[in-house]
Amino acid sequence: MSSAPLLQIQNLHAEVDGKAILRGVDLVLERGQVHAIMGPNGSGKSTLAYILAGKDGYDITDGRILFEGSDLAEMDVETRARAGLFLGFQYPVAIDGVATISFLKEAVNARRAAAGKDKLDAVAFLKQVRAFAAQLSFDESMLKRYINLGFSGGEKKRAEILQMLLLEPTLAVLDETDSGLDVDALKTVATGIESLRSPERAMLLITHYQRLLQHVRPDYVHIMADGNILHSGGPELAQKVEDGGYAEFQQSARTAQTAQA
Amino acid sequence: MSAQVSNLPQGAHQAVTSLMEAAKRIEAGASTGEETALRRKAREQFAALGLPTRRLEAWRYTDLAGALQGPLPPLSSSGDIQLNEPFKGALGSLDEALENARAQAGGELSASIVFVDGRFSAQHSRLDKLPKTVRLRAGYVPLANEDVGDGDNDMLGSLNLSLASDGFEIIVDPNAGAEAFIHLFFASTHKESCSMHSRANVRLGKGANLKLFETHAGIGDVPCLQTHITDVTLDESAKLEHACVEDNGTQHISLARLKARLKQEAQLSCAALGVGGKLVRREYNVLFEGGGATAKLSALSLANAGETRDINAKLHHKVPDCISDTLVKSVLTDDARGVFQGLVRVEPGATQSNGQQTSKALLLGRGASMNAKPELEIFNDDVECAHGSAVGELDQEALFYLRARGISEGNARQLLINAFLNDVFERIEDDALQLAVESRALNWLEDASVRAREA
Ligand SMILES: Nc1ncnc2c1ncn2[C@@H]1O[C@H](COP(=O)(O)OP(=O)(O)O)[C@@H](O)[C@H]1O
Ligand SMILES: [Mg+2]
Repeated sequence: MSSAPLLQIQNLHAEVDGKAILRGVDLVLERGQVHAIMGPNGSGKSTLAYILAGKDGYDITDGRILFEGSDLAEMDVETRARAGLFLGFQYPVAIDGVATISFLKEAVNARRAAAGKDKLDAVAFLKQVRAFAAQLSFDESMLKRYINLGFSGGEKKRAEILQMLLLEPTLAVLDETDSGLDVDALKTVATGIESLRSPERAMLLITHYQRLLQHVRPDYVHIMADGNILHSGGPELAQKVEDGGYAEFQQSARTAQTAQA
Repeated sequence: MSAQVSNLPQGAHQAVTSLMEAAKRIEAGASTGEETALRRKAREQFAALGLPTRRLEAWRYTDLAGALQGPLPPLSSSGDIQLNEPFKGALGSLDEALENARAQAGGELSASIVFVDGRFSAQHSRLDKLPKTVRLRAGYVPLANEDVGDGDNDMLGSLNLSLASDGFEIIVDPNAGAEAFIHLFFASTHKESCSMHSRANVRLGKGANLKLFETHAGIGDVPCLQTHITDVTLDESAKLEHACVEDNGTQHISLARLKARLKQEAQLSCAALGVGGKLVRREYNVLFEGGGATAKLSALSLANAGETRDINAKLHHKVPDCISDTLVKSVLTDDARGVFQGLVRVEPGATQSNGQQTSKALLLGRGASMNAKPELEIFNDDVECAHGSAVGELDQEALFYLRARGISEGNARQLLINAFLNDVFERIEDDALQLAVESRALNWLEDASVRAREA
């Protein structure tokens, strides 16, 4: 294992379909840490998540991202995933005609192959899937259905977490995994996330509520607005957002900018 | 004739000239006066019609004349039959392809009829397990089959009838208990440009069942024109399941027609996979003559650079209470072309008819194109008919989602294309036939040109 931080985002500027969205994001995640990014709608949180995953149309215009010390820009989408980067989608994609179970198997075996491991045999794989499904109260019959097709909002999010548990990522980026969940579902999902927490892994939780953060306590909280991280601190920041909203942070950022100029 | 021929491009002109000369020879060598008369009539009709131009509705999207690139003399005899030729597909040789097809058909195969370069090969065929209720005549030309459908503009019918050199007939006795399962194998091994023409009659008596598995396999890149017409009659409550895989050489042009008359409560189920060849065109002409009959047609058109797949389905509801259901799915890479023309015609008396036609195409190449024209001609109000067609590309969001889980782009594309094709496979009731069609289609999906994102 290299001594470099798991993830280093340095002065990241990025645009989406030609439109500048991220404007100089700096962020370092060490192994074992859980970071949360909070911010109002449209502040660029999902853009950051997609940039990390390597989505087409999302381009880095300045700065760089190092994953385990290597330049992420050099890796294609699937290589990043196999190397242990996982994106939990804010809006998981429904795919007609592809059964969830066969997709999971393909994904797990792709990750195993990259790690030099043999394919899981069908029995061992099923056993593992069933155990995680039970843990997440994810109805097993859903596994036979097509990926996310006709799943409720809560089922889609559970399915994302199920995938994460199966793939055992070293870096999990979870984009609003808490949205659209009722209290019980939120707890179940949070327990799932918490179970993956370990000294080798890091997590980046993107959310704009502090609900999730009450169950999965972050080590650091960052406030993002207008494509930049305006403020970083400990878990207490989440409470501050809950109480006073983002206006205060945006206000102080503006003051800081004026002072610089 | 000369006027039409002289307007053609040189390659097509040479092709037609060679075909006409052969037709005259065959007519002169006819063994009975009746045959002479039939052959002559067909030849004269072909001469009068010439090659179909794109002004003809049935050929509006497929330029046959443009695809013919020189003389295509029919093979007069097959000479030495060699099946151990290297085969372009995943299989090493044609005899492997034959064995593979037989294996796919499974243990219950009653017969395997092999044609090599258009001629029946007793040597390669296996006819010994045929039940007594099935009468087979292989290696004979069933000349007197009636036409259902194309009427005055029937170039394919007249060309085939004037040139057919071989064929077969299958008659299944009424109420034949056990289901017969017959495999047909058409191998093209020719080394020089040529054409081959065959005909078949399939008659199922009342309540009889038959499964027909037809495979066409060819080698190399030798220009070839193949025509094959199958004339099917299904008596009351008879059931025919037909599946066809066309996996021909790169310069092969295949024009096939299956015409069927369905009596009361008869069931016809056809699946066609066109996967290899410069042009694979398949026509279905189905005539409902007895109430309560059903026809389910499924076609899968898979094509790469320079290739065309053309499905032409005519369903003629003459009597009440019949169901026709056509589904065509096309996956086209590069500059491949796909065509679907469908016509559901419902006569005034054919009340309670149900006719469905759907075409869906996935374009994987910038130059790829699909022409779909499902049509309805309905002459009464008491029907349920619908048609639809859709053309799309691979869903980029879905592709990203799969890749973000570590699935390679090639595999992700394959998964999505397979998902697109899935419902066609599921329509094939018989497991062995489904497996045969599905496995060849999936094998095609592994081609580099299908997996690769276009630059
Ligand atoms: N595909 C796109 N094309 C153009 N603008 C986009 C696109 N996706 C997002 N944006 C814009 O980028 C900004 C940030 O969006 P996003 O990253 O989704 O924010 P968040 O996740 O924080 O709500 C918004 O102004 C949004 O309108
Ligand atoms: Mg978002």
